[in-house]
Amino acid sequence: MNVDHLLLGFSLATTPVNLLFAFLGVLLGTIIGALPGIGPSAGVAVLLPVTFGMSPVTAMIMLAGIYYGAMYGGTITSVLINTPGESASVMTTLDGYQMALKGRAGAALGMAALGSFIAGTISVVLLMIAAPPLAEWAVTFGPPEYFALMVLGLTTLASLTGGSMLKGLAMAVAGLLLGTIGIDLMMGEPRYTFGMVELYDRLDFLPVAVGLFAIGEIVYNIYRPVRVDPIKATLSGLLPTRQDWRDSAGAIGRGTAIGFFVGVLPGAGATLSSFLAYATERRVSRHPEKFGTGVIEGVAAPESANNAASTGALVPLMALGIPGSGTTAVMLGALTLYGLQPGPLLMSTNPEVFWGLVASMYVGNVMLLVLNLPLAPVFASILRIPYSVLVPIIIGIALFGVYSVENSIFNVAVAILFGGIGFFMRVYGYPPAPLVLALVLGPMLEKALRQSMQMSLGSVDIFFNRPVSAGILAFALLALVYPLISGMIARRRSRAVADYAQTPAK
Amino acid sequence: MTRADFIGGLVLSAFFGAALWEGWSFQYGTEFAPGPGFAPVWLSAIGLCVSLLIAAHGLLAMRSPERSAAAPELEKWGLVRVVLTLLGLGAMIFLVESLGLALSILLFLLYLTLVVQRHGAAVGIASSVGTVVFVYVVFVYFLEVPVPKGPLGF
Repeated sequence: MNVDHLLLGFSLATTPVNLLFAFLGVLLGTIIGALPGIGPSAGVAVLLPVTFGMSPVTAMIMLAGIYYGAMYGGTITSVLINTPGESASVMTTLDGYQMALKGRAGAALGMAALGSFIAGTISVVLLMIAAPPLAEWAVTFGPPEYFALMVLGLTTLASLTGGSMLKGLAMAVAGLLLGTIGIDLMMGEPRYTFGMVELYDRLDFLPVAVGLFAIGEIVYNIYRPVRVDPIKATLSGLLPTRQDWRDSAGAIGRGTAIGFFVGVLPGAGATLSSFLAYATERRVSRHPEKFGTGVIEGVAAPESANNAASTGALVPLMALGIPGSGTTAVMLGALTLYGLQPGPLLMSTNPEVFWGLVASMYVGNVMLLVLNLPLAPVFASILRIPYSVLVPIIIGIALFGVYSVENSIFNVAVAILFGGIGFFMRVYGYPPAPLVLALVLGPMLEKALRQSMQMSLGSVDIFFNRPVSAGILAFALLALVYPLISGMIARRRSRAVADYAQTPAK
Repeated sequence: MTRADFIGGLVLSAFFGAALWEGWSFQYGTEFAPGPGFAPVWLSAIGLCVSLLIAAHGLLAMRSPERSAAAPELEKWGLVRVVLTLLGLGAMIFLVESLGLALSILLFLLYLTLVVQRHGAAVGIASSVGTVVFVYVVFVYFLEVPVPKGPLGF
């Protein structure tokens, strides 16, 4: 790590314009996170076109602010209406809502804000330490290693995305296939274009992302309107007591460590990290039976973990150019739209983007804390606006935004088509994140595959002869096979328990 | 995994099957490297296998009454609202050329709020007009995005 780089970052992050957009990012992120039915992926995708007039540094600062702001915003709904604003806040509902019922909503939100701040700040330090050497190492990677890394990202996301692994896999493959649309860059042959000129230059990721994440979700809310009924909680006492700190200190530390390292893994992300942090806290607790009844460490652990994970997810994105989640996939797409080349060379060719982002995250975390402690009641009052009133606003911004990317009505039609598809995917449990990630990675993955096989004169052995690519592919296989094996073991165990229960006592 | 998964698996199989059919028409390989058809063919084939597995799981689950009962059923009126919304969005695309982008989106939002969501006139008109004015100012004035204009000049 170079101190000059960090100073460069702070000099960029503290300009009035960047401070303003960091503030707007965390503010909008908190609101987006607080609204049930629209998560950070949708928020970043919908607001991405708004950043087109900005410099890449300012744009990334704002998008990252939306991302980690949404992590905190999800807590408000988890605590006040027992509904997670986004999937990473699911575990917070268990104890957060119980605390609110006991009149301690303020303490829950306060500890979530402070835990998120501590976790966010520590994980920015870890990002700063981990990403540059990883990027330096990754410069030595060839196409086979890149191919293996992208396969790992896709398989872990497909298998860890929740619900059926087969559906996650099907979506990842569909995304890769959609990524082949357009003129083949090596041979110049058009693929799946069906004579449509608009498809010659590939299927843009943004209309697909906005369609699946935002319009699909909005259409789902039109189908089944969200009824938000916040409890009348007192939000006084936002600053935790000394006993709260004593109970939560370990949870914040463990949550930060788990969150950051899980976030770094491609495909794992904030949701899994909050599950693991909560489970760990329960395991190490002296009173595990109290979890779920409103203990403050049950809020501190998952909230610290999901905030640390959102920063951890920036490590593979910035160091390798490989996103590990739907949101970071959209951010990767944003980098390419700003004319930057994501990958290990980004830090040396455009150090201002990485270091400006890192420095802004220190500032952004302070803003988030300052914003959230006194303004928690204001954010809570947003929940009283009927969601159906927000629907036209979100759709209006989404449609205009998609049009503005290439001034193309065709893109708007694509977003609407994928909005319809996204609705049915939502109803029948097909996750959209693997599809979007695969669409972004698809062209890079195919290029790495073809370059690798050119290097090996057509032999696939090249992926297994090189230790790094072989190791990564082994992990990818494990990511696919492990859920199947653990599922089989769990089924066999529950069958054995059921058989034992049915056996008459002698 | 249920009847819906069986049908979903079949729909996906049809998609991947069609992609495989089309993929065969691309050049599969060059002398020492995969050609433009390599990835489409393999991806379609893998997708076809995975979607057939989804359909098979769905078929097996249909025999289990418990799992079939847990299957999501589409609500009729909810689905009507969805179809109306998607039809409105489709109509909006066709109106852009003659009415311009802003006016088409405004008409769609009015239709969405007043007809589909059945808001009161004040809420529907205020949220639709407010949204279009806001996005028009942001995208057209601040970001200088050129949008198709209609007969009213915007």
